[in-house]
Amino acid sequence: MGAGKFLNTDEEQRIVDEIRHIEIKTTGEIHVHLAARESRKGVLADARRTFVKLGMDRARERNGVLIYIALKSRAVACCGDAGITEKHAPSVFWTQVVNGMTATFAKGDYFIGVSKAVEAIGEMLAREFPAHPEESGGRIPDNISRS
Amino acid sequence: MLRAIALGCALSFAAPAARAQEDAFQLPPKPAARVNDYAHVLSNRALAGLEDRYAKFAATTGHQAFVAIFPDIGGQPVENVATALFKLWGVGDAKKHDGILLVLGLKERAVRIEVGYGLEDRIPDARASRIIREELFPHLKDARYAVAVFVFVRRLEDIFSARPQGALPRYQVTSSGKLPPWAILLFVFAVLVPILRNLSRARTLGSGGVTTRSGFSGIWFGGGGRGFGGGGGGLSGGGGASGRW
Repeated sequence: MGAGKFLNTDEEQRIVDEIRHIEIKTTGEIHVHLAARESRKGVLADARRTFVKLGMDRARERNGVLIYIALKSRAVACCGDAGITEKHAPSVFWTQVVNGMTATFAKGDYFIGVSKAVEAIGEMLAREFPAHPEESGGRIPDNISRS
Repeated sequence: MLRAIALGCALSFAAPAARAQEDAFQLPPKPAARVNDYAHVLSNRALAGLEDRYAKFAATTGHQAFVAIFPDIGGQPVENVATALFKLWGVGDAKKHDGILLVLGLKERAVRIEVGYGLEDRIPDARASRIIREELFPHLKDARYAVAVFVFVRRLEDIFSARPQGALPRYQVTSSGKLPPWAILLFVFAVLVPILRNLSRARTLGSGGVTTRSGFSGIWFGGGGRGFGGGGGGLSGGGGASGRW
């Protein structure tokens, strides 16, 4: 499956808008990254490496979240930075987010899958890391990145 | 170079003595120079040459780039030191926020590139982190500080396409030829052993074998023993999950 068919331009824009909207309410940061395949190290390791590559570990409260989707390998990972501890989001949270995505992806509803995941993560971030009035917005571009 | 090796020895063997100084770390006031070597690891000649090159960079691009090399940063996270220093020195234009600051903490082996937000489109975090990992680390871990500082300004010149034309003084070559055998032995023990140890530790943490553990700021060759605290941090503490459809 080509990266182009995963989300069309309109859907992609809606996801980006959704992320922007969320990042007004929280100091946290959400980013979606699409890759072709997972490496031998596994999709979660890939996600963490990309996380650092994108500079997401620079968020002051270390509360960035990356949704990483390896399209051809049909693998998805979701990882949060060190600031998001077990207290903020238990491991069940991450499993639920990922399982939600894989279940909807399996039905072919890619947009709904990503959108629901972004929404769930946004809710958690807004609750656990509410925005300070003087600063808002993410620190890295909200666009969906690819590799 | 020799002095750098001597410094390396002193650091690895006189850690307790150095610890007493840690608390005393204070940000220096705004200097007149752009390249500031508080650790005295650069030769006067290298310093003069680098200063010249950084001044040229500012003259051609209008953006100010500063360098601060500290013997130690009091064990503080390098991010905090860099941000505070950036503010204190007022690096860059007050309105355009277009300053760039490179901070090295030798004892902590910490490095950070602080970029004013006016330039974040030219040097986004990912790019800065790549510069650190791919271009600075190789020199820093061999204590070639002058080369690292030089490579950095050359990278900046490339980014802003402001490479000076014509013949330049060849101050950039600062390494002093062959190393004596004892230095190689020392290197193996002081550098490779901790790296290998870190590698295996990283693997057990499941962090995917990332030895530098950070993007924008980083730690080079993590000497064994004390952890790095908030130094550059990895992702090992954060949650995560994966699955497939």
